[in-house]
Amino acid sequence: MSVLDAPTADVAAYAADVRRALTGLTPEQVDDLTDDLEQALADALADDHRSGAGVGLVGLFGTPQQYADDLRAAAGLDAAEPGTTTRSFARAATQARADLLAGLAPLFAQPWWPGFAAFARTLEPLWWVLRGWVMYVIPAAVFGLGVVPRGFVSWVLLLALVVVSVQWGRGLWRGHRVTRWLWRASSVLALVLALPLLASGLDSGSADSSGGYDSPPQPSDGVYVGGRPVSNLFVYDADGKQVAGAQVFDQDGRPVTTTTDDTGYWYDELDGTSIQLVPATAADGAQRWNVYPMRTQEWNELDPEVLDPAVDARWPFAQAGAVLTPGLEPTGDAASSPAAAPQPNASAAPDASATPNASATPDASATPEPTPSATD
Amino acid sequence: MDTTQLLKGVLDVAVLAVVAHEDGYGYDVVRRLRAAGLEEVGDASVYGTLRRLYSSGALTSYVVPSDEGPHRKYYGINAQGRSMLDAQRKDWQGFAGTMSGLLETEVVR
Repeated sequence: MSVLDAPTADVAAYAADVRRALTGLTPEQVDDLTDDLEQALADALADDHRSGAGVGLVGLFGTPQQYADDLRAAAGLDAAEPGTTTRSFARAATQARADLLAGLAPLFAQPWWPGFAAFARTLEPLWWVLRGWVMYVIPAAVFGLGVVPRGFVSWVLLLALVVVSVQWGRGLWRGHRVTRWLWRASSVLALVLALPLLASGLDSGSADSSGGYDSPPQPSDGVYVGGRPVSNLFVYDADGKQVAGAQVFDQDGRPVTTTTDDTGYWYDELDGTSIQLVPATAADGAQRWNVYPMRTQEWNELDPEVLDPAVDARWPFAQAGAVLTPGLEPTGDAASSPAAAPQPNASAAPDASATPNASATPDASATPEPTPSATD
Repeated sequence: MDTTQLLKGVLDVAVLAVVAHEDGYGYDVVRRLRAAGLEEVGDASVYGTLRRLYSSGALTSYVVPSDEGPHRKYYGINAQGRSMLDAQRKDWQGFAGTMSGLLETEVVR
């Protein structure tokens, strides 16, 4: 009798049951054990000399579970073999994977693990596509096609590789030893390369759109308005009058300077203008670069090596609009004598030494030990 | 006597002997073992044994394209497999001789 016409669907179903019964093995181990299983089953069914022919697959081979048990027992995969030496990279990889799985066993025992695993398995096709893209990026990098495909050829290449990756993922096209090896190697390679490539791909994408790489590094000092460096500051008081010799500090009490060059040379990289700024002189003779408006010097037109005498900066306008200053006592003194140092409430910090730290410490030392009364 | 239990112990050397005689694919090895008289050999056990012998380095493997059917994975023996076969053959002959001697004595008594 001939059973050549035995329904291949039965063989496929039986083989699928056997693969399902091979629990606890990695997909690669299962593939390795069963890659020509359908063929072997069909061969047995087609064997006229087989005594059990005609009794069906279960009659011939027993249940899929029994078949799977025999298969893995004979292959020596039912228990760890502690004494075996790893002969090849493949065996070492298999061993490493088994060790990893054993190490992760407590994780698999978590109540949330099955749900998570099912969720991750749902995302598997996404991984196949990603793997296809990674396989595309490698030759694309060699031929300079770009991480994101541009042009017809690169799109065709990417599409072809994604199809290959997905077909491999679906368990197809893996029959040959060479393609199986390729499949594993590309999976590992893709796994290793996916994240950095993805990161660089996103990076270059954002850089392309914003031109971020072209902007100059952020300045560490100086005053900028609207992205342009500021050479001089002009202070007007609440009544809109010009304030000469205004000392400007930031919120931490640091002097605000427009030039970082200690010679007072000020240069605008964008339009190439340059000015020589002249610092104010403190009562102790020290130079102060945060007193505005600063006087400026120009280079002599006849002799570029020589600076003209310092001149007062030109105010942008003679008078600014008056502003209301809630919280400040409307004292006429503040407006009328801007250059005079001794302001009773405002001069304490900057006037002493231009560093508020110094002015803060005298306060601390000026109140010697308020605690003794508390010790009683 | 449960010959399947006996078979388990000697399946390696039996498979090695069959493949040493001539390269073969999975079911081909099963068929030749059966033809040689090991009727009870399980297909799955033979396939598993082939995989294990292959991964332990005793067998080689190659794919033979086929015009009419699917490609077949053939197994062949290599030097390591031959030395393994020789060692196991000696073991078996020694063991079989011992058992035969033991059992003959029983019969004579």
